[in-house]
Amino acid sequence: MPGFPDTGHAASIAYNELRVGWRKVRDRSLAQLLAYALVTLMMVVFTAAATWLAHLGGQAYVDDPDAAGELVGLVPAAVAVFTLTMTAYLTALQLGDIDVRDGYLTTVPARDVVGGLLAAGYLRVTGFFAAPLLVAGAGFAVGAGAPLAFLSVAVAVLALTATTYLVGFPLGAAVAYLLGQSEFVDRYKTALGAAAFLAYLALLFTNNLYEVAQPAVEAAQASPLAWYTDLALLPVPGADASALRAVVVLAGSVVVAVVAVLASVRVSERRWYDDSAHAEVRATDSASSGRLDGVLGRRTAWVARKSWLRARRAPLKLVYVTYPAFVLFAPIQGSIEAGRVTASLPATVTLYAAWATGALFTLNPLGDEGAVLPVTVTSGVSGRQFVGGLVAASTLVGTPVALVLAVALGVLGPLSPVAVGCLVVAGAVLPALASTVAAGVGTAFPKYEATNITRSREAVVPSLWAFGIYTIVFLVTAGLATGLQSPTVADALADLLGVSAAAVNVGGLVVGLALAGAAAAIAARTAVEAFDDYTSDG
Amino acid sequence: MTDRAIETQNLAKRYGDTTAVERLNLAIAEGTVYGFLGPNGAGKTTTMRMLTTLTKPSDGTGTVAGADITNRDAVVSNIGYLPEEPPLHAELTAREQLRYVAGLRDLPEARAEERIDDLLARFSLADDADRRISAYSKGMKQKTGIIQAMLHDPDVLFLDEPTSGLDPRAARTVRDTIADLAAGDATVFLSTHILPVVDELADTVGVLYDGSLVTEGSPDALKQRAETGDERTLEDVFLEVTGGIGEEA
Repeated sequence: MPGFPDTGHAASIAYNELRVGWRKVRDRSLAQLLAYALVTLMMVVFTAAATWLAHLGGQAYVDDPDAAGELVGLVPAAVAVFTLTMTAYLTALQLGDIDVRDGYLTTVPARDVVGGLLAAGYLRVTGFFAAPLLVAGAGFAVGAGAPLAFLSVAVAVLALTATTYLVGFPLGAAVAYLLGQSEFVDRYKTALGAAAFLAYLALLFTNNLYEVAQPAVEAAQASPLAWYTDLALLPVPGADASALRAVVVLAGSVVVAVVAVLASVRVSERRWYDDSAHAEVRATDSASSGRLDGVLGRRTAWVARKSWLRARRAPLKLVYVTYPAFVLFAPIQGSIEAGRVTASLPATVTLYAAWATGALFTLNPLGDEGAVLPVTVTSGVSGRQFVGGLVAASTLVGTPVALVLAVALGVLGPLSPVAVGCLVVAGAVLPALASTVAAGVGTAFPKYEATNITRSREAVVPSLWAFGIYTIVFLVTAGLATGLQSPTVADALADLLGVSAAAVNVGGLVVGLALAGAAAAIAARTAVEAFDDYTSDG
Repeated sequence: MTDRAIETQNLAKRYGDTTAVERLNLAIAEGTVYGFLGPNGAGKTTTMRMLTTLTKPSDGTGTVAGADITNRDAVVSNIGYLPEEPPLHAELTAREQLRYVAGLRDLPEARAEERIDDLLARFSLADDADRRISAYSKGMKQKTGIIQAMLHDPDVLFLDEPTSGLDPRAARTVRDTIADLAAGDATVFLSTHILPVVDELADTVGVLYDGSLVTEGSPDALKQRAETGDERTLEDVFLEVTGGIGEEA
């Protein structure tokens, strides 16, 4: 067919994409492989649960088709909306482009590359839910006592997911293309990305994600997408399934798929061959010397300024700092639902702010220098100046934030005045201690290799060991200083020890700061020595 | 195929207000080596990207191996391209990568195997062909990229800094290979900063400066034209036309 990908080339490219992808996964560290294993285990559990529910659904459907019919009718609509949204998102982000693009585009026609991406992408995207759905289809067939339903459900699942995937792909590619054409987006992409992430978190916190998706699901339910139910239920006795609608939806899938493939080729060609917009971004020289020199000393101040400048120019490499933010979900959600600052929120937020301060610039001091490390260690800057500069870079940014959050949330929350005072002290002191602890752990467990943080961007991020050990050390020391300011914890401990809650507040602060201070002292020495004694031998 | 392997008329590329290439007219004969010189940022890579259809011209026309550079499918089947960064999958071995590309180029399997073995041996890569490319040195990656670009015996070969990162022996192999290709029917469009390579291999040299072709001719003719009584080299010519125009005038 004219304009259609060559199936041989497309299959070869898809196979190679999957082969390269698999080898990338296989080459990852043990910790990352364990994470993949965990996801696989979760998928198995999810599949088992879905199969059991489908089995029950099959039984219920035979017993009372009218009652279970609405639920069964919801499934294709929800699957369609989910597949389309995920495909569009992943295509814009990753699936719609290919490594070594210039090599491909001077070897085969672009449409063959698109064909390969479509095939590989379908397996990657729908592998997560089409496979569980197929297994669940077997559960439904057994539950409904209609073995042939396994086949009809499988055909319906594959047709539905393939069609919606093929529609989502050009939509995602078009979004990526349009974003690439916008100077505004190019200029403010970091801020826009952060805003989109915050909006997503807000929807998640407020339980409004389904509210946003609901109109789309309802529209899908009212559209011919619902006819996939007819296709799936055709062999089920007692089901009010229309053979005509089943045939029409199957034929419609083929037509839509053909149009969608042609659209994918067209949009991808535009995306790959049209010049993208490049906003003229003037790089102001914010690394010039200033008052910081007088406070920290010239060399230390330069190390700090360099860290800020690099972070501002490449903020994405700090995205790992947001990973543990999930600990804030429950207290923030609780506060939103209660309409006030709940008891656990001030301490949790202050602790996270201090943790994040430490993780910002000091969790991989040596590795973060990258190719510049040999120059830095031979530049004459001492370990004390280098580590001091990094700690200052983190602390000067993080302390005001932690302090403001501790004061604001402490005052607004149901904390006693003593607990608020202790929390404010913790917010003022912990960020500096956290940065120092992180520097010690980061130099003890450095990571020099770059990691893909997006498809097209690599960055050196802290090692998982540094991340984990820093977090544990920080929690068991600084966690006391903030955790014991929570009224629930303080009251319980006060009862247990037979002292006042205020004594627990103050005691927690003193012990927590003392432990964190001791850890910071050891860490500072470790970090300074690691820098001063650094050789490339490891 | 016409007797011109590459031909352009008033080819231009502009990015907003910035002109990368301006009114470029080339007429490169089949079976020749064209040395494409110019300072960093002169527009050499942009020109190669236009000729290989990777970017659309803002203005002008061009043909490569008789195919219009707006007809991507026709151009792609006749060219080989080695960009500055060799387009390789680090997760594959060199043999896997080359077999893969041979498959995409629709080379018959037996011929592909023979050709791959031959080229791997020629570039002294045979012993390392089954190691992952991620473990290769810069020079080994470069050699794999060159083999990949010429695997299908293209009519026109575009090479962007092909000797970059190569040791003297490998660089010699590349130069010999380019000479062999040009001795056949192939045309080589060679962009490099290493002037002795161009001096040795090129039938014609074109110098791009600030997006415009400022001089063109055989190495000997260029050296003669620049002659002012002193002994001139291609380097002298290059420096003169890319920085000394105002001074000379």
